[in-house]
Amino acid sequence: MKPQELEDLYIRSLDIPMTNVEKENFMNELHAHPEFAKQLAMHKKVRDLAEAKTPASFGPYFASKLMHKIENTGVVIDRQIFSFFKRFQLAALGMIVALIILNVALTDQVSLPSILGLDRTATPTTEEAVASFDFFESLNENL
Amino acid sequence: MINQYSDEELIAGARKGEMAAFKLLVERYEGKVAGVIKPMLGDIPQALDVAQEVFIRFYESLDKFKGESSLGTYLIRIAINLSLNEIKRNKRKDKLFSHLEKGQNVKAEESVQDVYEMVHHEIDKLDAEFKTVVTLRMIEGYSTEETSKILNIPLGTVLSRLARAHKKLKDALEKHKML
Repeated sequence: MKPQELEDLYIRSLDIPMTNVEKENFMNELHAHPEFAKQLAMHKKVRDLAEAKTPASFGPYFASKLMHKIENTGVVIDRQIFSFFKRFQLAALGMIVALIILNVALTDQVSLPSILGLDRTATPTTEEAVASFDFFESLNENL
Repeated sequence: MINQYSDEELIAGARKGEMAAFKLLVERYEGKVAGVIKPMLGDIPQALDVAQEVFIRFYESLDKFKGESSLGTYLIRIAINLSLNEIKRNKRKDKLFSHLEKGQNVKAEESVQDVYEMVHHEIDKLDAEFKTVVTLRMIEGYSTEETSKILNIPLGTVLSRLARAHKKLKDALEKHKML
């Protein structure tokens, strides 16, 4: 086993226990090269020193300060509005579907524009009616 | 009182608008969130803002939380993502003001006397991808499986990042003759 492999195996053993075979090989290598023992002990020390000494905290008033922030910056209102609309989203969707079905049932021409109420040929706007009005033609018809 | 209710009960209460229930959840998980944010960001004023943002995001997405992972894991994931964003933002800022801060960094290094402080100072200098793994596994003591699950990376990646971080830390401490 190369020194690099020995080091890798030791570091891994700090997270995942070695198998019996690995342990035996490791101990044999260590007996053969006792100078590595110091190197490996350093890794153990690094691991021990990295561990948090005390539980982390943002102080005793963290929750109170946060609640104050949530209640006073519109976060609560935003959530209430969202929840309100969420509650009625199914009803709104049902209403839209019902309107489309009603529109299909009442229309003569079943086409997408007429279903969606975009069919402009059925009822021309005032501007369209004025633009298409031929004064002389209507005069002849009346005579 | 804090242990009287389960997470599910408190979440249900918070969804109904009971702020006291949400406050209990904050008190329950503040330590876990701090345990991730503090080592990731160090002692900077923005760390508190990031921690508050974690819980505000959770509050806003209460209805979306399906409980597929535990609440602790969910909050830690948010904390890590927001911390990484903050680190990126700080890096950009550091680039802009690097000439001004060079002197300060040397001073900070000189003031570190204790070997414990030195280890954490060196952890602070690790790249973000190593720092997240080191924070969860080595500092906070999550298992390698939990770390892999929280970060959503393979177990092998966790182990290789830990090994590389270990070597970097050991080399740094040897260089400073701290070990």
